[in-house]
Amino acid sequence: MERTVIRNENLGEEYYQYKHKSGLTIYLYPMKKFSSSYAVFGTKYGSIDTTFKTDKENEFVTVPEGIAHFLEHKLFESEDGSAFELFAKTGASANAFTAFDRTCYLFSTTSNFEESLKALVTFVQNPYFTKENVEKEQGIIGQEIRMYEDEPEWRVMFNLLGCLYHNNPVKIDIAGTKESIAKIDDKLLYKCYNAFYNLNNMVIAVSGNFDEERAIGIIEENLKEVEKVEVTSIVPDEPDEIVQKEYVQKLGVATPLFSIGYKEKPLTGKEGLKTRLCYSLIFNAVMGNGSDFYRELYKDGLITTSSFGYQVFDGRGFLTNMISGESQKSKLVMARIVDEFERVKETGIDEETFNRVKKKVYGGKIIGANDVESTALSLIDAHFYDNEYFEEFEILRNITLDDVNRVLRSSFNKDRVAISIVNPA
Amino acid sequence: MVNPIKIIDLSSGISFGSINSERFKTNRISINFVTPLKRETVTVNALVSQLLKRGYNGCDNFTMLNRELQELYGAYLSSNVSKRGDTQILSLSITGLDDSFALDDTAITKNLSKILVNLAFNQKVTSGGFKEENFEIEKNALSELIKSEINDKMLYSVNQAMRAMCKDEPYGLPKYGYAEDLKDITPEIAFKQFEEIIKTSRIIIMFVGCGNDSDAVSVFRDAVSKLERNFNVIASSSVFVSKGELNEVEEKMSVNQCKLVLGFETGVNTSSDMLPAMKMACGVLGASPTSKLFVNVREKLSLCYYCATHFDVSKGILLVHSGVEAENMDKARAEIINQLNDVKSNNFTDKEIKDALMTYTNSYNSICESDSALDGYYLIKILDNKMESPEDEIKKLEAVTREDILKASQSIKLDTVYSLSGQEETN
Repeated sequence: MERTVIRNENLGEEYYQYKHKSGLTIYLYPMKKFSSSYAVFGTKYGSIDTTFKTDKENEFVTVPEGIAHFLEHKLFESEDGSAFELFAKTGASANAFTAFDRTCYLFSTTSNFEESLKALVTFVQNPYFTKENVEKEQGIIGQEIRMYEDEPEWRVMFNLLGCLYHNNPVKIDIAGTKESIAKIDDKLLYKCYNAFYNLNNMVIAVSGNFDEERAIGIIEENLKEVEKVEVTSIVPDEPDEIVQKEYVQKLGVATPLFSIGYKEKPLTGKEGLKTRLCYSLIFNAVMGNGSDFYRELYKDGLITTSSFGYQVFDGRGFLTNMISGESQKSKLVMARIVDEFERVKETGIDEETFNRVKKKVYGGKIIGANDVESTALSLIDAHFYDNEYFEEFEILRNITLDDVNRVLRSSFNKDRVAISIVNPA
Repeated sequence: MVNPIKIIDLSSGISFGSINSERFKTNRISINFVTPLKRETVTVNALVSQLLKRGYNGCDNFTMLNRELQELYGAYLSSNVSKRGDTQILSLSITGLDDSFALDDTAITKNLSKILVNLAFNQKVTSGGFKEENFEIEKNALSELIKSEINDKMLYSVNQAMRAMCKDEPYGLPKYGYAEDLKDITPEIAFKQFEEIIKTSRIIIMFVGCGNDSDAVSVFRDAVSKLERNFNVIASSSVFVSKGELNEVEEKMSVNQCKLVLGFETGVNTSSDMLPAMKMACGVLGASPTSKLFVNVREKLSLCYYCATHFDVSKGILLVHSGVEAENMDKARAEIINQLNDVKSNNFTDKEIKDALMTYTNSYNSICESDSALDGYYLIKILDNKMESPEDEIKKLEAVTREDILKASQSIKLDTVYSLSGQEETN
């Protein structure tokens, strides 16, 4: 296999990228000072991929919402029982998650790494879907959906996405609905599996304390020979405009929750990474906990510091700059935020603030990469964004105040902002 | 590689625990005040914990403080209130990059120690109280925090079940106290209580990181040498004892999914030799995706998405909690009891024992992979005065036999059944 060494002198660390003939990319990041290791087997397939076709087919097909997540649950089942049994033997802690644009299977272990890696690579390549086991899962996932219906943070976010997106399936709950999952059967699961779980559409990342040669050997030995499949997933065209300004729901909460979002243009590659870093710097400068604006919101009793936060919420084909928290006066918070962005667009962020928040974001990135788990997940993240993991640190070091002010002035458009509120029932 | 913990006694009831490991790129320093959990002080203590992280004498507001932290490469400050048996623990922690990763020659770690010392021991006082400027806002914020517990129904239901079981003892108090207590707390009352905490509480400072702890040790040594101390020894927590009658608690709220929590008396807590056996019994029942509860209640009967055990070792209380449809509540309850009875009647396999052991082994070993986990683990060890490493814990579990598990499981008795369900639609 073709092997590339990727090194960062500032961090004093390196990792290796392998390209398998099937199209699978493998990242190995040795962290010998740790005792544990962490491996992720991911596919570029998430809840938004509901309309697709492969290069072997002529017609696009649309499948029920929530099917990627359903598939993730079912992949843990094999003809011989549950994949959890394989990991119980090694002591590894195994799990999986489905996001909007990806599905990842993973384990973390402090012993028997090699058997655990073999188990991961094997079970993800061996689907076993039957009519019976699909029906059984409908009860379990039905309860997972019900659980999320009661989670105010989850609801307030999806209601916001519903305000922002006309067509993008990001607005649909990852697990789907009780009605949509009722339409899922074994045949549909195989159809999705065969399209998206082709090695050409997948990636493996391993971090921690392991032997590089043994790891790559285990992966290679356990990869099935498969014909390469190219899959095309259609994310419907999405206008720049938002759907509606506001959405309010009632739930069992004490204080109203809000989520405010600016709909932005999604970008990939180096430029996309740089823009996302600029957004992060802008948030920190404008409403970070060291800003005057944050202090004013706090002093006016509009926000509580334990709940207030912001994030660049993004994935393949969508990006929203999101601000969330709890407030008795959510709409006033939104008005103040919109005004503040308009004001800062005029004045620009100043040099002193820029330098301070840049140090903060830089330190935060390194603090965030302080363990085995986040390193493997960041490798996967970078891969799906067509970036290289260390690029982030270097781009951040080189970002200028002009870059940040330019991005600020071309985004945070006051006509493309919406608010979602969850009020006490 | 994680070096063994080093403990220095700085003063009466004040310890400094230090764990060095080059695996981290950071240093984490925390100061923890351990005080008795009491109805009269639970709320004011929580408020003090919120106030401390806002600034100190010479750094008058949190904007200045946060800017200072940002200049130190985004060092992260947090405060936390927790319960451990019959104690309430107020923690302040700071995590920052090691000096070697700074882009200039900033002495990050030394500065972080100074900030933490200032927050803990050098608060600004105006006329005998915390400075008034933000006092009301902080009271409101704590009130909102207390009330927002209901937002997370899973956690809320577990807490409610625990409170129902321990309603007549300190552990039944909510960790942040009561919103209604706040109105009577003045800046003077809060500051007086803070002085009391500094004087009487057990104080444990922890340092976990790749850097040198000597600056931190000397900064804290110097600070505590000036304190006037009258330290009260913390008694070990009492084990929960059931009143014997089954307590059924039903709560209604606007929810879609019902929550079911079964609370059991085990009679075994940290002061018992049976603890490893009891942990294993709980493990066989519900600690992993191959345990009895997951395999049967979730996978076989598909009644729920989660059904898990939570064993509170300080009180010896076992909770089993799940989220189910209203019509399946009885079925789920019966099946959980069935599975427990299987453990009690020796109806479990060697594989189930081994799986539980492997799960615990991995989680104990994983403690050493994270600075915050190491901090939390050794804080409790210092407090309990039981200097066992995670490896020692694993060895004790490995020594547990089937007979031990069987014996331990016999003392598990159902005490409380708590349910949270939806309100009937009235319109």
